[in-house]
Amino acid sequence: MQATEESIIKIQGLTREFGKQKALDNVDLQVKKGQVFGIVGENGAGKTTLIKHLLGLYKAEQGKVSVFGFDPVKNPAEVLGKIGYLSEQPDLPGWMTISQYMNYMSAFYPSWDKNLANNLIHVTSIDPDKKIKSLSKGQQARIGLCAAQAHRPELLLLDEPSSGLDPLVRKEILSAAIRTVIDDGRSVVFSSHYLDEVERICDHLIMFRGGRVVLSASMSEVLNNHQMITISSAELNRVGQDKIERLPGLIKLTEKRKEWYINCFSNYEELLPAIEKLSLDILEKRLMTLDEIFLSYCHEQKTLDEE
Amino acid sequence: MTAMIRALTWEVFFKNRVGLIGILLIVPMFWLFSKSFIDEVIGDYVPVGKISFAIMLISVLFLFAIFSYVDVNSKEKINEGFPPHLLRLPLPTWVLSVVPILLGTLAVSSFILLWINFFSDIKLSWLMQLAIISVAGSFISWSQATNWGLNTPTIQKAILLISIISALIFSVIAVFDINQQSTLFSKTYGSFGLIFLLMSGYYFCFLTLVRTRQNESFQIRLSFPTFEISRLFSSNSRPPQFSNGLWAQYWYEWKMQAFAIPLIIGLIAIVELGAAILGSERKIISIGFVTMFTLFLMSAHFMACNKLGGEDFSILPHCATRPLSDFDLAMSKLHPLAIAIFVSYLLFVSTPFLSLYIIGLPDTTTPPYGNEVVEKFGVSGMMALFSLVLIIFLAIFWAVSANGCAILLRDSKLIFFANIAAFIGLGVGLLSLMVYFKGQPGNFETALKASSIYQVLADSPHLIPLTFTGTIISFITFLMRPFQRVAKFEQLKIYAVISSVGLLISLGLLWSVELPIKVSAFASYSIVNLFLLCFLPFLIAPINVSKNRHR
Repeated sequence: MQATEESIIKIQGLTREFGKQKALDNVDLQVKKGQVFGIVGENGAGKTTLIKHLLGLYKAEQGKVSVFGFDPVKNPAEVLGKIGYLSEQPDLPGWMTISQYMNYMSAFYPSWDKNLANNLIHVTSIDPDKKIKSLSKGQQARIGLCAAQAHRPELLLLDEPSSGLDPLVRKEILSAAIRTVIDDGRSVVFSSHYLDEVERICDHLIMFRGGRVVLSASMSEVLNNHQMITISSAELNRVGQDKIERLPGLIKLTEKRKEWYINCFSNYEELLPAIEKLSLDILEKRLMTLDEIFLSYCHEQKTLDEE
Repeated sequence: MTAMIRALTWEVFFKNRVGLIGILLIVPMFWLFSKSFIDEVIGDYVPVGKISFAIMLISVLFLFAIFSYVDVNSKEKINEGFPPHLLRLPLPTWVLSVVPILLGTLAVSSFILLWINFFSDIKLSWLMQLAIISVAGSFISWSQATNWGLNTPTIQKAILLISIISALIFSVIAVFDINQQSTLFSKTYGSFGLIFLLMSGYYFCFLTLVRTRQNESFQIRLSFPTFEISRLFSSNSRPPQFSNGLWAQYWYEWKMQAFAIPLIIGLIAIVELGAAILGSERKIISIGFVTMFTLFLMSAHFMACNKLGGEDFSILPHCATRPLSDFDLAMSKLHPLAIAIFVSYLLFVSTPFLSLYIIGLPDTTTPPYGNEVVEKFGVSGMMALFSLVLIIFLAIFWAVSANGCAILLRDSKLIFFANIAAFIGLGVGLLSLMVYFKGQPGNFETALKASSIYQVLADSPHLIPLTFTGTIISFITFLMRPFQRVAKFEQLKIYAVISSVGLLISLGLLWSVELPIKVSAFASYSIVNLFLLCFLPFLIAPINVSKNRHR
């Protein structure tokens, strides 16, 4: 299956089950060249499962996965040769020294840039003759990040790489690494629990819950089209909860201290006619933060599922 | 400083107090046990001396373990070398290294001497007592050096360790006159050997600690030869260069697992040589058998498993994400295994010959026990058969190990336990046969000739091997479709050629000897089967790696 010229990743109807648990449920996804794609979701939402499908470590039970136009299971060498990968637990061979590890890794990638590798290691200020097992978790993550970038991959795949890094490294090194990749017109798929980081780095966001994609949009769309409208309890009683629940793009309706919060994923201009129709007396209207958006979707799904 | 040494001593003891109390309790317990049970009840059947020796040996090994002063990462079960917190103590490095060695030597040698004094009739001269202390000291210092600095497996370090153990064994044999052939010269040589081992062991412990303390940067202060030797005791080695990813992966697999196979076989070979020095021909044969069985048992497991002795056969994410095809990833397991098997085989084959040479042969112009064969087939026939046997055994080693490895790469618990059960069954079966026919070799021939299998073989020698051939070919045909999903048949060409060449050489050697037609037919068919089995792993491994890698 050849993907479109621009799409480096194309996923169609991907479903994966572990026993009775659906880890991925009919996921469709397309990552274009030069895009920085952020994947967020609760623990167990399916982020790592998706990334493992991209790496060919999981075989699609249903649906299709195509990376650079290849099936990563059938053509692992072709796909993995263009990917730089770093996982939450870097899983580096502890018995190697850093220089041994870099030499070992360089053999796999004809595009390995030795100068870049040396520079990246130099920036970490870690002695290259040190054994990997003697490094801290954060230092190992940094070495893993150096190795993931040194062959100038067309796709940098980062599965929660920030977990072991301190805030400074997270902010400066990781962002710099990602920026370098983007500046060269390459792509990044990046899963993280740090929403501020995702907001700062990514230009497209995909949110998972229970294996399903609950939100997929460009970052600007996500940040500009999530509205939080506050009304009083009396207003809700006057209009009726059922009518408010029919507002376009409603994600969640919650009550807090006699005030009701309406969270919608909708352009305000699109929302306005419906609000005017109900003659809603709005106490406050503002855009939601990414944290609030994340919590809204997680909670919304739970509430709807329970209902 | 005295206070700090006292504190260090206290820590060594306090850290291992439970084990030490346990060891101390063994002495009165064994005394009671020997008085009340062994002497009274089983004394007539079991020699007390042997039980006493066994218990002493176990206790001494336990003591060695206690005094191998290291920190173990309990989570990852990694030996972290000398306890790092002690490196920060304001003590000179020579003191840091000497205290645990001295304590260990004192504890072990005192225990041995006390045991000998209490539970045996041997009267030791002061020279012998000194020799025991030296042996304990050498062993402790070298085990410390190993634990502190040699925990990175490299072939150079393996060779060094093998040499040290050999030197220790030879020195002990010479000093204690175990083979009852020691002269004054050899005793002196042995004593010097022990002293040298003790000193060099301590020196390397010291080097390791200095290097660790100075964060691997002290080598510039050392003279060239010392620097080269000390390189063995550091984690640093020159970063290797590889022409491509496949070679890098071969190197990785060799360093991870494969090197351990010839290393262990080498250690067993040393024991075998030790047995040869003691002049025991039967011991050599049984050790040879153990070697072969160990090689069979471990090599498949070693190569397929992520951790030596573990049960995890999944392909680590670090390896699974290398840009290599499933076929190449499978070959990166099989190629180092092939080298390991070949090196081990050379050790396995050469050691009995060396052993027999050491104990002395009546006629060294012909290979051992070859006279009968020479009489029957002539020198050229004997040489052909001898070469054939060598090739066949190598092929058997490969077929068993590589097929085992290829099957285990599936990462199935069921296959793993079935594999273990098969080996235990094989071991028990062979041991039972050995016990059954022990001392009556004629029985085996009689029983074999009376068996129905022998009758079938005698009447139609091709029937059973051809059934096997049919089964293997059917299996290969069955594997073709799944194989095609992960690789191309062209990739198998080189392995098919090697197997065919091996087969043709073997058949050529077989047919060059004038054997009875039925024997020749049976052997020919069996050789064909064997080489088909040698080829089989190249089909199975990529399929199983693919299943394992893409779940």
